[in-house]
Amino acid sequence: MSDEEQELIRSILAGSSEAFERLISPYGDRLFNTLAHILRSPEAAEDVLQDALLQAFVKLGTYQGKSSFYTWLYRIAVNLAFSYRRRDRPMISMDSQKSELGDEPISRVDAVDADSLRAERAEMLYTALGELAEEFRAVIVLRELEGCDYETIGNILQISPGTVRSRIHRGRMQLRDKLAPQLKQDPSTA
Amino acid sequence: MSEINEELISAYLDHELTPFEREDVEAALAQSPELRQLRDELETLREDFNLLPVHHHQNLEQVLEHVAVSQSLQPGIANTPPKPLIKKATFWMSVATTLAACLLAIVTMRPQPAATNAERLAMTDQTESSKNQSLEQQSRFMDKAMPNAAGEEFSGAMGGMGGGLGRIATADSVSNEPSGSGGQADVRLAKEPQPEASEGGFGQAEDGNLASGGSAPGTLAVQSNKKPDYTVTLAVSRNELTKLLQIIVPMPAAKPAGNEAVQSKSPQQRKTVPANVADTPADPQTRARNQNARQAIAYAVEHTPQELRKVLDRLDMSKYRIANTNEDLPDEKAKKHLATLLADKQNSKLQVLYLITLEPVEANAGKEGK
Repeated sequence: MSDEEQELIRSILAGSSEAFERLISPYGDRLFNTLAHILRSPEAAEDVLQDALLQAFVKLGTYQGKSSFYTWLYRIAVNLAFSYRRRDRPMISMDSQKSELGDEPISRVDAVDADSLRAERAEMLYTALGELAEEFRAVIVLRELEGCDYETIGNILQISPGTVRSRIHRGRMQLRDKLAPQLKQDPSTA
Repeated sequence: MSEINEELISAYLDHELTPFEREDVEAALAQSPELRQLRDELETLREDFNLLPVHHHQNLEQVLEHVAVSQSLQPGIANTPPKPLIKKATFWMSVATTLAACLLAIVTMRPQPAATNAERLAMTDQTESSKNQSLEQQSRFMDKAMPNAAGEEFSGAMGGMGGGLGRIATADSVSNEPSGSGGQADVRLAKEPQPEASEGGFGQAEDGNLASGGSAPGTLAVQSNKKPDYTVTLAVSRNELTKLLQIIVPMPAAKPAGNEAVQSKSPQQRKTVPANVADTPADPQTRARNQNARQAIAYAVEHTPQELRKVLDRLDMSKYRIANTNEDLPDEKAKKHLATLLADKQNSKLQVLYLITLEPVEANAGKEGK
């Protein structure tokens, strides 16, 4: 934990609300993106993020600094995400997910075959990722989207680095199998 | 190819191998076309993650502000004055205001307890005038922090929900059962924030108009400076909140004796509490906003380990979605933590914090229709 974060935490515990905003700001949007992919729903991610921030605030006095604040915050959020899924909340439809996919950086212009293939593969990957079991999806999202190393993932999910490695590989293999037809069409992998 | 070798390929791409492992993998790749193909496929897959959509939160600043402001209204985080809310969404404000409303209602509804029960609950009697003054001051305090419309909602909710909660807590407090009838609501508030409370305490109210300490007779003394032993996260619709609270703090079978005010109100309160919680003020705009708002309540209860076990069992069987009850631990460890806690604290009381999210009406209307 950085000195600045330590100071911000002290300020929060002393009563500063501004310090809480400053502490969370570097992580908030990233965490939202991560939750949205784990939960397959930005709407659900909003709910979970709110709960996670409240939990973090309420429990801030219990944070002992053994792990980084980032790890501690993500641990709360990811566990809440798992719990959220178990509550069987309604998920947004795959159609709405696909339409949202269309508003993001992927280009839909059918100008070049390679671009079209990449756009289609991205959509397939988005779908395939959503179909993974949550323990595989979580490690894949933390690794590929957050860039966490195995040790950090293990700390967030409270599993060993060996288990992280195993789940990442198995998750990737499942994704590869689902996307195999697309991979075969990609000129870059030919 | 063995499983171990394949895992090493993934770890190799992630730069997670030791130097010796890396050498072995590179040697194997040099000799095996299948391994090279696997490496290439996984590498392409990893690159494809760059094409995934990036989700951005539309109003993160507002969420942060609400969390910070709502918590700054609670005792223990005292020094920063709350920022005035200018946004329509007030769901985080309800954490502080609803808690304050519940606590005040418990104060007003609580009967004259026996000495032992009074000591346990740590809420003492007030004279009528000081009680009214406190209510008025508390109301002003809340109005300062909330727009009038939202304040009206909670004025209404105070009577209803508070009455219901007061009934629950009161009935429990006058029960002759020592603790088997259910948990007791620890509703102690202090005037000054307690330093140790900031180390993980919860539920402290901060209101300079409330009397301090709790040692002086006839004063409202409310303080909770203990870190919760256990946290439970729940979600419930507004009109089912009373049922949920009855699980958390179940009423004994016998009606409370010696408190005509509570008895006379109980039948109506039983009807009106859910309605008042679900109801909104007459203003239709406020009604619509409040019905659609997602709100949260932090509710502190003292349980014996046996009571906690019963409550958790009942919650597991209920439809009130119960999250991993310790959100910073995965399920297996949470279960072990709970078992250890129950074993270690067999002869003492547990401070349990219930974080209850009130679902908007719309979110449940669809489900109920299924």
